[in-house]
Amino acid sequence: MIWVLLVGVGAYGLAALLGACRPHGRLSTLCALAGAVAFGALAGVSLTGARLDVSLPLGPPPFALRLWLPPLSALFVLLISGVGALASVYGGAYVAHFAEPKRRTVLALTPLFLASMTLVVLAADLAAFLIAWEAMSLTSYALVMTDGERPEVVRAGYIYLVMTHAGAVCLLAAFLLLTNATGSMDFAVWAGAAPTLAVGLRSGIFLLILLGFGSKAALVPLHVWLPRAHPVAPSHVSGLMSGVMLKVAIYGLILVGFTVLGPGPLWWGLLVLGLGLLSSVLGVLYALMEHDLKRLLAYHSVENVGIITMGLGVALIGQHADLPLLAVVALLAALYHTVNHALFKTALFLGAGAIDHAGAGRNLDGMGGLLARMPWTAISMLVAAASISGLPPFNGFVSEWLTYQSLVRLAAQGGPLLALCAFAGVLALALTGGLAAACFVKVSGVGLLGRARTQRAAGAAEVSAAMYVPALVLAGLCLGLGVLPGLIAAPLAAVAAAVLQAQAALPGALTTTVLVALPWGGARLGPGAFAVAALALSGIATFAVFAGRRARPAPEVRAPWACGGEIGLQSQYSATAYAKPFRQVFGLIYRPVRSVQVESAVHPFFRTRVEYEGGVTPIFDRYVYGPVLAGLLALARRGRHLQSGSLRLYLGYVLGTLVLLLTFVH
Amino acid sequence: MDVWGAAAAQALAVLLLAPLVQGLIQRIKAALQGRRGPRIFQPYFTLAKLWRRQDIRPLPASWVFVVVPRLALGIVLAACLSVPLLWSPAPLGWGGDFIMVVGLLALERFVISLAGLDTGTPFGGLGSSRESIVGALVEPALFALALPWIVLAGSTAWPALLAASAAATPASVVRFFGLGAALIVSLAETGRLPVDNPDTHLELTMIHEAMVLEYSGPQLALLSLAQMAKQLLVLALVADLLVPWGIGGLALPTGLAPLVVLTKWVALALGLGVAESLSAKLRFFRLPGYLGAAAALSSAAAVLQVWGVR
Repeated sequence: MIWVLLVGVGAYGLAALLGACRPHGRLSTLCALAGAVAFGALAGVSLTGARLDVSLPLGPPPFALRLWLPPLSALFVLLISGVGALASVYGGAYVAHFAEPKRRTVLALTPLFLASMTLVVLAADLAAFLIAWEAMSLTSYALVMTDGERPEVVRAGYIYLVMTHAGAVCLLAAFLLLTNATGSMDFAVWAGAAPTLAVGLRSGIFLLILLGFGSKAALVPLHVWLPRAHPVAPSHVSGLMSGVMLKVAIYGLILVGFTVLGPGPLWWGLLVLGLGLLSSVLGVLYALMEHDLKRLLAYHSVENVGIITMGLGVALIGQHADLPLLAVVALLAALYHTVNHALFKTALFLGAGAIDHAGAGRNLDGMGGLLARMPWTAISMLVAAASISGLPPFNGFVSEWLTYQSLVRLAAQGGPLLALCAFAGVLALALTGGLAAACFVKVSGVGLLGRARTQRAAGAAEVSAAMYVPALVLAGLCLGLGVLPGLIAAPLAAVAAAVLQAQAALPGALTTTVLVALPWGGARLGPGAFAVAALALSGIATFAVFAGRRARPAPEVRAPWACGGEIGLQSQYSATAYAKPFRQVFGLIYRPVRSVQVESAVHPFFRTRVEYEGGVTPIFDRYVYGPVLAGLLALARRGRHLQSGSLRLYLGYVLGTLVLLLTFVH
Repeated sequence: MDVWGAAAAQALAVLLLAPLVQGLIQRIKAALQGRRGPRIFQPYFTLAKLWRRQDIRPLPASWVFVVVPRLALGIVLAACLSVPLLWSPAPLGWGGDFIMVVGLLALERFVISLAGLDTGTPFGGLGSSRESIVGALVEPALFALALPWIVLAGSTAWPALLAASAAATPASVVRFFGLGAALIVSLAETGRLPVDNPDTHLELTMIHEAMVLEYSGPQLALLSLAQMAKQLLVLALVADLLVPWGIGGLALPTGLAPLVVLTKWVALALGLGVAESLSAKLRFFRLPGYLGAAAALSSAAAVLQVWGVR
């Protein structure tokens, strides 16, 4: 197994080198594919029971890099490699229109990004984890900065860098606390010793972990970097960041929250559930207000991470209340949604990139009619849109169904207080689902259907097969995992049970291929049957229309009636108009702002120019981060007096620090 | 094969009965307004008339516009197959529960909204936008409607929900709250006053009609049929959740059961017609409060259920 690991790392490394050196990217793409296949094989082999345990000595005994491959890691390696392979194929074609140094940078950094994410989930001790984590953050930062000559990109990259390192500091603090308490840097040792620690210490560690991984996973209110940083990266990298990198943070949360820290007090679960609820509702609400397709998709990542986190919260509560079956099903829901989100979000980002590549831009109001011009890209996006909206028979519905089931079970078993929390979760999830569907009607209806809204959109043409085939494959998987949920629900449940060490609670036959059956109240789900029924009935309806064609005049295509006027390119309903009712209804959250400036000549009736500007108040930027930033700057201004420029004073500082350290630490 | 036979029978029953329910409601409304109104079988004639008319499509529309009516009808009928309509368990009840019905209704709304935007006209987009926000607000309300029984049954499967509701106290606060909420939700889901007005083509008020304005002929017939089937489905759903007694297999002779079920539908249709006649169109931006009231009523019912107030 260690050879497969080395082949994988080597292939990624070679891909990076080739991408950096050779003017042709094809060989680099092939090497990246080889790396992904090697890691995928590694994960597949480990699922059959083989174990991986590698230790690379870095110095005296405690300092070593250890890698392992428990079922949870295997799942994430599989996810990273699978999505990574498709994104690499797409990326090879996508970078073709980049100027030369940028093209090489992206080709060289993408495999490194994939390799570092893979190593994060393989890491079995503190050093390996933090090194890989930092490599992941830095490579993704560099990829975000691809268009670094634009000031807004620099700003986005800077905010990302700051947030990700603030998170890393929290992680480091938590890990050092664990190391100090257990006397080891090894995750396996932590997992054995951490449950015996004082509950206060464990809660402190839990909060730090939540901050650290939460900032990477973009939970509200730590999400502000995401809608800035994800859209400016090259599209396949945006897909990888949204679809996979956020999931690495979810992996970390599961690893430390469940495997290492073990059952905690009730408020851990409630806090995580509440954060998930907040993230899902606010994420989708802000997504509705975005008309830049990639920013919109980025906000949907916040929403979906929220849904995943709701599952994690219920699982934590189940673990606390000693309801192993509930915990397993809730974790299964979270893992299922993790896989689903990686599939449909990457597909959507690939589609958005293809549309941009074809010249139709990123603004929804500048697209329109793309289904006719870019059929394959549009179909993959339509399927992914239905999936992300949680509609049957696609995969998003299955994972949301599982989340509903875990919430329902919590309400039925947890007593009145927890039942109220579960109600809130159910209603929030239903609202999120409805709003997400509304948002993706906007994306598909305004962006892909109707008439082209601009000349650029009218001139768009389908991209090359290397770009639409990966998106189609992802869309196909979305449909497959929706129609045949049993295919992965059983393995995922096994992973969840292994994480919770609750294999005994899991009954043997949870699923068949077409059915997910939970062991309570006859809760079963087989969306495939409904897909077949709906399609069969639609087929009958189509046949009936066809059979009755002689009874009526032949169908005709005509210009729609336009009240005597003419329907121009701009008279279709725009994305802004579509979202207007939402802005009004949820005005309490959006706090919409608008300014209308009218210039007129002679009399106010004779207007020469009208300028309209509307928007949404960025609440978190203004009311959360604004004051924090202002405080930090004020503190820095105060601290400026320390910097006198006098060497003697600095030596005095060194002496003082030394004395303090010797007094307190020793 | 037995399952699929039963499924076909249930789908056929819905197709045949749905226009009748529509005609009944129209008749009730006419009576309350002091008109004679059309005969009760009028919707069948209207559908037959549409079926013979020409199918005219708007120029910018793609294949999505063409497939949506068929798909919408298929989806609604498939949703009907998971709900116990005339007997329990439903034909496809082994693979779908309450959440499946909510999901399929959302899917139907999704595809019709896409068709509205595909016409490339301002009207279609206007309808889609309004329908989407009503849908987003109805979905939590619909969920809340079932919450008390879901908590009681500890499950979302229909047989468990029916049994839990049938076994609970018949005249309880929970049920009355539920009925109040159900009225609001079913008025919204069926596109009736005070949410939408099915009888007008006035652009200021219409929602569903604006979305499907460009449809004609057989396509419009399929869409109308889908809307009527959805209406029947919503009535059946409310009946199953709140007045479950009499559905097949629950201590009634099998011959009598369909009769009881039909009586319940007629009663609910009556309620719908009366409620619609008594209400005036709400201003569009007042809708969130109206639908929120339904969600609040049902949530209150669920909370009472949890605390054991029956």
